[in-house]
Amino acid sequence: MTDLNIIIGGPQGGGIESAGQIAVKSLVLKGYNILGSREYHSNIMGAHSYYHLRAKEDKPGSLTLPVDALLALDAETVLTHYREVRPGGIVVYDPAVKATRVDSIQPMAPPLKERVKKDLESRGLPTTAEGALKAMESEGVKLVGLPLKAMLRKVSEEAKAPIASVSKTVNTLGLSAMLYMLGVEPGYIEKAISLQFAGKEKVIRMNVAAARIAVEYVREVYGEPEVLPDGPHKGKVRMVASGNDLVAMGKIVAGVGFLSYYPITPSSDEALYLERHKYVKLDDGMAEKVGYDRLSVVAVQMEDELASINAAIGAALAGARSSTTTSGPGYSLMNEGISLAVEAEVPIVVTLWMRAGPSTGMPTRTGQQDLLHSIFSGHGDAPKIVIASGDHVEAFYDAIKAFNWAEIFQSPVIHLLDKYLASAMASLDREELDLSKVVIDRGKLVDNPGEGYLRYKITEDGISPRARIGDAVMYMTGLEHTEDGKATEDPVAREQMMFKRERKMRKVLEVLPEEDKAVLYGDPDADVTLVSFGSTKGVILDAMKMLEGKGVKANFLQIRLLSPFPEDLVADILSSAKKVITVELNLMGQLAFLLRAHTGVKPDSQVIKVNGRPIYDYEVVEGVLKALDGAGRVVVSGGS
Amino acid sequence: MNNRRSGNGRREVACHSCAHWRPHIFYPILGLCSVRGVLTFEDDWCEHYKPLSYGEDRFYWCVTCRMRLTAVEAREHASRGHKVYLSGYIDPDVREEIYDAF
Ligand SMILES: [Zn+2]
Repeated sequence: MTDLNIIIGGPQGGGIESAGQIAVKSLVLKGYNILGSREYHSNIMGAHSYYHLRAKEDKPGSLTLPVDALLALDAETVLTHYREVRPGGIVVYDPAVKATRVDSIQPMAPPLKERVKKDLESRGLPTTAEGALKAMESEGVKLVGLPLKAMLRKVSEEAKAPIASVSKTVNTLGLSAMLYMLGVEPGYIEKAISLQFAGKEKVIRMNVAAARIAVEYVREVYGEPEVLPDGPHKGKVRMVASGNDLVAMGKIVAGVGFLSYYPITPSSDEALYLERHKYVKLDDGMAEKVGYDRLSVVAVQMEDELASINAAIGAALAGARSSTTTSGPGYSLMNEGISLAVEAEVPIVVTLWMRAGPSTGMPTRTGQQDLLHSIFSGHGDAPKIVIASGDHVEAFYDAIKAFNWAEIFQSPVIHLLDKYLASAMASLDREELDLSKVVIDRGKLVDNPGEGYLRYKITEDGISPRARIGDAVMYMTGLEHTEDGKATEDPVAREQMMFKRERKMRKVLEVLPEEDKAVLYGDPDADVTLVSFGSTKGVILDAMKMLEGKGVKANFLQIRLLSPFPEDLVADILSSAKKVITVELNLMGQLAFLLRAHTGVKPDSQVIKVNGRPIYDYEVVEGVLKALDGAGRVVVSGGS
Repeated sequence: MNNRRSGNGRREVACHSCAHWRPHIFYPILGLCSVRGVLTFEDDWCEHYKPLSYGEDRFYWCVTCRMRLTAVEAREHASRGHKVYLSGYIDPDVREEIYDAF
């Protein structure tokens, strides 16, 4: 069984993204399933960034440490990750960085410098990149030195290209050497380079030349490595997409007509994807049916998040499937708009990509700190739908379902995801995004409202016929209103509307299938039940297998619908749980809080992570074992 | 004079100590020769060589800190052994490698 783990690190902007993508493509071509995540600094250029990648025969649900190989494109990478490579693994580095002292690397975070110096000193090693390399070597890590300057000169001479062109191959040199040492045949690396730079012949030629020179060098110095066996998906056409991409794709499939946004990490890439695909070509059958051959999405960058949410509300009133996308700080600004959408019963989808707060916090790092914020957003009793996706495929389908629910229940739907899922790349089969499974349901949207139309007509399920503005005389206001939408402060009318909005949420719980509310994975009779939401899903499923190896039988309750909370279902499942442990990436134990509030179940223990890095499989295992040992709260802290 | 080497074997009179040289902001073994408009390696040399100095009142680029400096700061950083130049070189394709982050 192959389980290959890699970190590629260097200065942000120094080719880490391309190197990561080429590694992903090489391993997907080789037939593996991959999961890859970018970790980068919010100070944009030059700060340390890295690509963390896992390749397996089956789908990796998690990333893990230590890794099998580290590609260090600068001294800072060596010094940041030297404790994250397993014995027997390899580190590829440029010997020119050896003399670099920890203290001389200005962009490196001072607390990290202190930790590294303390560690190297305690081992009696110099506080330089060489010291870190020696530390790795003493633990059985193989050092693979690549003289980058000499190799770049060689690329320049052999490809007869100016240094300006070959300067872009530093990352390719290192990456090719590393992949070759791991047993990836050069053919795959070259094919991946061609795919990465498709349409740029000169760039491909230069990078292929660099790959060959790097491979030749390591073969000469370190010998021929054992070839990595092919994975099970070799030869298949597959896709690699991030969570951002998949939500954008889901929105297109759902027929989104309008997307407003204000740029913010980690949501912008979703909006930019939609901007790039603002025209969607229809297949011939569909084109004939509707009389035009392409659809368009209006994706607009607004002046701020207040404008974004209000523009989305406007587009929804006009009848478009309407959406906005943001993260915590932007969502804070949208609160008033959310409340308006609840009061005026406007179907909008707000995609909320959580990142590490509070305030600006760590913009490019992950967290699950906006769970309660999303549920309780909007002043006044403002009930709404909140759905959290556990993985890439769920993110795609949930993006579609969100529009259906928004229109069926005439309510804002908050689609909750996080930075880790936003930027994590996963390999997928086309069939995993099965369009035949997609249903478009626009609820009680009426084309001809007719005379005497009442936008807020009191009904049994709380849902009124919805006409587009312009199709009928109607009033839309943030004020409490009567059935025709006119403002009122009448106590009886007020109560009617409050309970109407409540009935809609009851209907949500009644209508939604269990798989969209909460899902139990594993043996219902397990010794311990892990409860979580969002992107921890794959990690917990991987950790369950590891726990089984340690004699602990665990199952996993994934809560998907967070509002309205499926309390009967969850209480029923937890009633037979022997021990309950929540796993979440926030300090307050927000899911644990919800469990207790809605079901009366107080988790026996909580495993939390708040350092802004994704949670790893081994951390869930460690956390659960400590919890079973009696720890009330276990904090896990892995990652660089 | 371009063959004089320092203790570590590096040529002292080379692009890396030339006022016309703009080191690559991430991989400063490379840099732009602002006279000839080509990228060179740090230990290359040409007849346009002019020694670096920090007298002029302008902005500078510190390779060590990866940050822009004023003249006063430039002199201070250089005196601490930082590699300070008149400017850095940013690869025009760098945007393809940078994620949105704010
Ligand atoms: Zn400096």
